[in-house]
Amino acid sequence: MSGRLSLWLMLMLALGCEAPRTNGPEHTSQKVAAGPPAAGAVEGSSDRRIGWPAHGRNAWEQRYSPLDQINTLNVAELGLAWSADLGTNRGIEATPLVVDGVLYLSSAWSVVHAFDAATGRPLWRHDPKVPRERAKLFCCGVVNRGVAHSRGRIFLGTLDGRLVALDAKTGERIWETLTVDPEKPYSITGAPRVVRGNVIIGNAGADLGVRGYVSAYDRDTGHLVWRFYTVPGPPSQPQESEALLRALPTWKGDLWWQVGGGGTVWDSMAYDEALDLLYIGTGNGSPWARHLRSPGGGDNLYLSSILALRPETGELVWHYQTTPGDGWDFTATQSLIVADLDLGTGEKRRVVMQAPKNGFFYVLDAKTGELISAKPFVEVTWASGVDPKTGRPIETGRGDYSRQPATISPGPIGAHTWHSMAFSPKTGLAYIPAQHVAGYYAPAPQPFTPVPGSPRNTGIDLTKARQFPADAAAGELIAWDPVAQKKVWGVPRDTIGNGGVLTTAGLLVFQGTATGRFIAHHARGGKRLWEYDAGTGIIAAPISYAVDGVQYVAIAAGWGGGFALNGGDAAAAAGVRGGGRLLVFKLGGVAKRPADPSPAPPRHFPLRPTFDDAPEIERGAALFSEYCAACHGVGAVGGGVTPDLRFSPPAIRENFAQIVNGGALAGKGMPAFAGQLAPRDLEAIALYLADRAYAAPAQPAPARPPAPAPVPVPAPNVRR
Amino acid sequence: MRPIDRLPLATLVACAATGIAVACLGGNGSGRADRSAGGAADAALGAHPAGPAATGPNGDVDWAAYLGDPGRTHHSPLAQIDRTNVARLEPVWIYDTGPLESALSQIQSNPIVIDGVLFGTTPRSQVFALDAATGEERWRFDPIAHGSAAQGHNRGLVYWEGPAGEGGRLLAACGQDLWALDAKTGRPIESFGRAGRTDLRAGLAHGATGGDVTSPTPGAIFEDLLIVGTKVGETDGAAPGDIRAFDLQTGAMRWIFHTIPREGEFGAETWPKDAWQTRGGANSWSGVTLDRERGLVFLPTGSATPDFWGGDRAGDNLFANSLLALDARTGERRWHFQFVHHDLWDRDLPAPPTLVTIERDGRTIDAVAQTTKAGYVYVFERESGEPVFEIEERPVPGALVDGQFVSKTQPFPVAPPPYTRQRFDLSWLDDRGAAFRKAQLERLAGVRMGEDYIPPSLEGSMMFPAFDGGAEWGGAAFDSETGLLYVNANELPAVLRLMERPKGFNPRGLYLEKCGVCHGPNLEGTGVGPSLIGLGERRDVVGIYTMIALGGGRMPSFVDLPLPLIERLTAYLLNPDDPAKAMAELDARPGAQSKYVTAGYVYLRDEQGIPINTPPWGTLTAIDLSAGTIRWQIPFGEYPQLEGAGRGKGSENYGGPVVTDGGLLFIAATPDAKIRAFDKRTGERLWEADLPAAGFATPSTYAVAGRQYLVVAAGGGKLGQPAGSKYVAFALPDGD
Repeated sequence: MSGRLSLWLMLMLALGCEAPRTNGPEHTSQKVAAGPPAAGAVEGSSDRRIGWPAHGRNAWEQRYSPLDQINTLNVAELGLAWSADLGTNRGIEATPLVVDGVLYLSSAWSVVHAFDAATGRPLWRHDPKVPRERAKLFCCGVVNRGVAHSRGRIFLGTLDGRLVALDAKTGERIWETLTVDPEKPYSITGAPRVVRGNVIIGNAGADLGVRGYVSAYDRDTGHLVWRFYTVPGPPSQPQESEALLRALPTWKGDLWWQVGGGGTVWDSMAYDEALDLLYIGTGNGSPWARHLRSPGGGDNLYLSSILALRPETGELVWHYQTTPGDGWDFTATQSLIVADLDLGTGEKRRVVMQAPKNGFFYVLDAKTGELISAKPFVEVTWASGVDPKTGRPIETGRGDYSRQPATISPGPIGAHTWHSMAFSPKTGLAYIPAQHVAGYYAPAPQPFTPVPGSPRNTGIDLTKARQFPADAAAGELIAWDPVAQKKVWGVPRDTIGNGGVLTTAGLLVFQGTATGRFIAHHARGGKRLWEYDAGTGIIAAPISYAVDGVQYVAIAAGWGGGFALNGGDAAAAAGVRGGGRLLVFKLGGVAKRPADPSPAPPRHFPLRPTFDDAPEIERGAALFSEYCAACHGVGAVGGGVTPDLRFSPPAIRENFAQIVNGGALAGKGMPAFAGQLAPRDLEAIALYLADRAYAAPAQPAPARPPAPAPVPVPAPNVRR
Repeated sequence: MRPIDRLPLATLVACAATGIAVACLGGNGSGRADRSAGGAADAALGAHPAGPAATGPNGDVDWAAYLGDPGRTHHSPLAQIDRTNVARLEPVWIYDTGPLESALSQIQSNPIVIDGVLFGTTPRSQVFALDAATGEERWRFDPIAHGSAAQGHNRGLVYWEGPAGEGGRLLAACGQDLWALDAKTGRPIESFGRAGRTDLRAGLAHGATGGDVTSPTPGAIFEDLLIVGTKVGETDGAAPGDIRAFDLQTGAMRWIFHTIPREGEFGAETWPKDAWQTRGGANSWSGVTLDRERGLVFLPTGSATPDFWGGDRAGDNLFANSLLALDARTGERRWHFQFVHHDLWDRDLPAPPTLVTIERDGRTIDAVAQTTKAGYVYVFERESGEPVFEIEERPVPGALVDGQFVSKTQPFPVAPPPYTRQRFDLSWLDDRGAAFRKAQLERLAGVRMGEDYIPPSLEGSMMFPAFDGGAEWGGAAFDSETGLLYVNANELPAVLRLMERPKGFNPRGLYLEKCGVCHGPNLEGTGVGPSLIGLGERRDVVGIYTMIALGGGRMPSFVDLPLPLIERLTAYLLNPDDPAKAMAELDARPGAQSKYVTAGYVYLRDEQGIPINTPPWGTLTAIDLSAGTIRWQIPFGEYPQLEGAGRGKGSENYGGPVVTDGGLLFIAATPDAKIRAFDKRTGERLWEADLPAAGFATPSTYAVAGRQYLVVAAGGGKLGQPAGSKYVAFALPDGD
């Protein structure tokens, strides 16, 4: 696929960066087995009630369920047991939890729902009322990836940076604390984890310009216990930790600390009780462009790294940097999975695995961080491999865009991003929701001046991102042998942005697709065994649990998130629209799913620009790409979630200024851009939108009233 | 469907009579003459100048281009239906294009038929494909749903065989878009232009900002080019009527001919300096005729704008009101002839000229015949542009209004004689009783009459024939067997009256300029547009606003009008009695400087809608182009509102004839909603049948699997007749 990239530029896709995220290890404080976590019963559960008590089901975050009532022999009989309409058309990225027969699910705008896990009866709903006007501070949608449970409480990170403890029985708030500086573009989309009495929470915002950190709050009081910054602060100030003092020399210049430096902990965590290590993944730099962020080079610790921390103190025990001096948005925030692998030496070795954006599958020693192996799981052109001695990538130089634009594979969208990976101790395989998509990076014009509050402070020229053709990206579900470091099987997906993975003791692998199919494969060989039309795109990961002896599989479906918002033609090609719903299956289920999202509204065409408008259209294109495309699509092509602005109805067009600059629709999540866009800019953007409307491929003919039947002979009176 | 062996092709096509035996016997393997490739088919067709349809191997005979062929002869070699059996014609299918969206919609489309598939357009310019034998729909494409501006009418489509191996394409114009569609599926060809369409405003100097540049009449294909003309506005600010050729593969503009010459170009001296930057019109809206063998395209043009006031466009105004002969490959001018110098009467050339071959003084001449609204046919040698019959420049009346510019002379052919009467005077007033006479005399008090080309005046100037003609957009048919040119025409008077543009800007001035011509100076309506009195009770503000901006039905789009002006116009229409409410700064608008505006299109009819002059009110004429004489002329058409003594006097009519080697002339066109067949030699009526609505369109005839069909759109919507939505096909009864 890299071949065609040249056209597009998605670099942009920038957004690939995906939603801000953070999250924390699950850990309910419950016991975590010293060996492989108890595969079967989970803490507090009876045999007949096997839940999904933490984000990745257990502290090792394997996303493996020990249940096998549903298995390869009978999965074809899987049917809908119950469902719930989540009442939103924005993206649903969350993994539900099931504890003691109650299913907890977070949805768009950080809203939490609780249902009876067997019947679907709604129990409570909590809306933290995130101010909608903060939407432009979120790189990748108003999403949330999950909550944590511990001791009768649900812990939620909100988009506006709060950490909230709710009563699991009632949904009432017990405590709440602000974890970020609200003046800065921080957000929380990731799931908290609870480890040793601490609620661990990270945050996002490195594409806009922040300094990354992860915090631990006391589970009972909400008081801050410790905070670990992942990148150094201003050199003139005292650094917060020894680790930062060691990191400081790996940074150059003085721009990075003004922008923030990045390294946010926006999604993955895992915990090993025996080693008492909390693993976190850190994100990209702020700004992205290394030649701007750290002129003169340097590894820029601890960007794009896997860090092992002491969960009680936040002390850094070891680190492994996947992409030293990252300039490509190669976050290392993708799923971290702990496992015991037989590496052929006859004894099992406890490892941490990750398949991050940069395209290599890493296996590290869980105790020391030592690189055991790293191999590419997709086409990788930015590096030829990872040096086993130094643990560093062998860069090819093709990714240097400090002077000229560069195209490499993977790109900022990532070979694999937040869509969760799973690992089956039964097959020994990791299941990766992989993506084949390259990236184009054009340097921002010099001198680069970060703009506080700008949607993007990447150092990339986002104005060049004008289209994202559907054929520039393809997805694949890859079954990967982490010992042999090779693909065992793979099944192609029509596009990227497909959901996370669940694997079960029934030798099944479940994944939902961006195109709205929820599919079960045989865990060995990948044969497709069952499929269900979810009615909307699926990006989240499924879970499985049992209540009263009945095994269920649940998936929160709902098209949205960074790719759906930003992916333009490629996202539209998924052919789905937003419409969040929770779908729960069991053998023999016969329920009907909620009404599907309404189809795309009819196209309204604006007045057509003239040839004389070409310069303003071009200006509008650049402005749109910079300010609007993140949520309304590269090339102004709507991906099925936010309105397709090319075809806005007259009422929207006529009130364009009031909406875009005046914030007339701020309550619906359309922030005001007054102060950033001048009236003349709005006119240019409107012209660009009109131009794009007339460049849009024709829609397939809508079903029309029955074709007028030809009338046979008897017609008007004929005179002969 | 009859087996082909039961119907020898020789009976299907009158081979012997026309000398096209080779084609009749399928010698032209590909079957059709009017394909882009040209060449072989033409060669096989001998005497037929533009290559009418040939027979394919399956007994299919196409109607492959608008008006039958690119020479626009309206001729078919089919002869299965002939004088002896035409009376047995019966309808075999009716295709309904769908619910009507307007009581004034029309279907002016002349459908084309390729390999047994009929391609046509609906009142809303949707494109469809039918099984031509059964009327069953194959697909439909709606340009307006894809943002093309609505346009008042559409006359048809162009078929191109397409790039090698890729299958045929249709070229369909709607609004400012020229679409390329896959003929098999109706899907836009993504590689053409932008996602299947190219912009018809390409290359225009100005005025191309709104929805008033369209191309409702199909263009002509030469090699890999589509040559098209345009319809533009009729008032100040209209775009120039430049002729363009677009690349059929890419949609890119390949050449442009400036009909309003630019600095240094031929004819620039017939305009004020730099007129091309501000003046518009001189556009070719009525069609394009191709002489493929010579690589010549003929384009008839219309008047410069504004139509009725030329005080600020002094000069002859080349190439308005002209027939242009251009090199089809390059767009270079080979010759031209201007029919009206400095037009002040909207005397556009109404139809594409017809390629003809005639005999003069023992010489065979390839000629091109152009009909006019004024009622004359002009005949030129195709190659040189030399008139076949002498054309005289005759003195015409001088200026009648302060600042008016008029040409001292206008050209008149000495032969053939005009096919309509000329110079209405009061002696032509029909005898319908004393009250009628009194009313008409009052109406005509002070109106100037009795001469040709009386310039527009404040007191009123008689036009005869009226604004539309004379000959109209249906065009003329030519039959090489008889050497006759068949023209249907109208005979009714109209008054052209000027009024001073109201001073300063007020919405009424804007109304008079933009709306008054069709809707009357006092919103009362005219024969062209409905009354707008009480509009506010029928439509809301948004509805009125949208209609002005986007058009609909026959209502053109005025999207080029600044939005504040549309708002004021809307306010005026809602409250015409208090224009102060809608005052604004119209005078600040460029191009709105004419001192006078027209008081509207005033057709002189009585309260029943019958022209006030003596009959005939419509005629069908056969002109011997070799002799320069009229062979026969009959009153044509009936007003449905007249009975008894009112019959047989002809009526106004729109839509052209079709002539066949079966000895027949088929034509609908009349307000009484009939289609008729005449003996092409004598004008004797042989058959007529009712249509579901008036067939204001030109029929097509074709054969599928050896059976000849005649099809016409019955779209009504003119002359006070209800709109219709159907196409009707006729054939001889199966088994005949």
